[in-house]
Amino acid sequence: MRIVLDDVHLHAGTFSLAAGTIFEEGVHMISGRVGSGKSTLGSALAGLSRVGSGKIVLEECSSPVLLMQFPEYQVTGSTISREISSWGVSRGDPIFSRFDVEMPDRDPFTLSRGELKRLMLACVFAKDPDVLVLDEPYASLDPSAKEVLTCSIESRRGITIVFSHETEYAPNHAERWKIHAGGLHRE
Amino acid sequence: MPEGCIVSDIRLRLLTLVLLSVLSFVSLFGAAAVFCWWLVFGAKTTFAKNSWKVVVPVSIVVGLFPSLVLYFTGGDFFYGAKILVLVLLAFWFSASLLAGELMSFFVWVFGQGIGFDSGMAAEFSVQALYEIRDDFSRMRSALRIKGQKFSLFAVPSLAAGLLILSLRRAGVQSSLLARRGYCSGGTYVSVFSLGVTDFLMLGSAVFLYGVLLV
Repeated sequence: MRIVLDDVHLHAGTFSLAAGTIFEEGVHMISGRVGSGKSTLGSALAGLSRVGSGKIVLEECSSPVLLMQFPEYQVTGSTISREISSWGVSRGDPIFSRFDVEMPDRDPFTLSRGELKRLMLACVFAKDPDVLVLDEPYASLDPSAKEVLTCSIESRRGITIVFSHETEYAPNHAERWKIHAGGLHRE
Repeated sequence: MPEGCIVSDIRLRLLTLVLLSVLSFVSLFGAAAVFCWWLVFGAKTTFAKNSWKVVVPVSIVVGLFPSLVLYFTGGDFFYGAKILVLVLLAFWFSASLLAGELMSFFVWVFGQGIGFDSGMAAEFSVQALYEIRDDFSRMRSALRIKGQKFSLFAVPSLAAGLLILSLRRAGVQSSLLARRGYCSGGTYVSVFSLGVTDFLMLGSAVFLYGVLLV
């Protein structure tokens, strides 16, 4: 199971990003300044946007799941229970209690940003895809939820790609990358 | 100079828009002439910033609906054709807008008080529309991630999301303005860059106006 970035070039607005590398099974932590193209690369890895040139090849893995930076984008259910069901996962999964997600029939939009983020994180971890792409997953979380997230990332199988500024929370065994000077470099 | 060093003057484009709108509204021949004008001068700009998947269905639906209503109520069936051309003109004008142009225009017309406030509100509104379009695009991507298709059942949640994101951004913008001490009015130097295309567009609009109306 691996993702091959074959001389990929991404363009959006005034920035461009070149990447030619392989993401093997494990955790990959990618950092970079604001506007460097982290979200664009994440979207391309998830197959949601086209690359300018080159190609992204998923070898022996199913479709990636992307958790977007802003959790509001991904809400399609009118209640928390329906939102969980919309991800095709079971409400009884223990990950929901680890992320301290309650199950009332509340409208997800009445949750705070942090609560909504925890709900979405629990949903994508419950889905347990081969490839999980997380765009700024630590944003809006309190310190205890950040630790839960790090533990959840560490215990996952498959390929996990984390785009984040908050590199201090990265799992110890994570491979670290940096987007710098228009390229993706291993640290 | 506006972004991308594109030479264009909103005042001439606005005058062109008014002339063409009146022309397309008063007669079917006028609407046909304005449609030809749009094909020559406006289509490229329109489709540069808007997907045909949006422009074509919206124009047809907005034009078709009044036509059908008037057809069944004994009115002018071709009224919809006029509306269709007006919608195409609106797409062209909104696509031709550059950052800061509305501010320049309102300050030029109404001065540094009301003009500044109106210009800023207009710029924020246009910016908000672009952001809503981007938000919606991301929400559709989110549906794809879940393996769902866009349906009527998802509309209430998507609409609530768009509203909440827009309100949050408006809150941040207003806080920022308040922190910077904004009450009303300001200082802004209007900048306009006259381009040859503006004169060509206005000249052709005046010509059509003269031939068909006067």
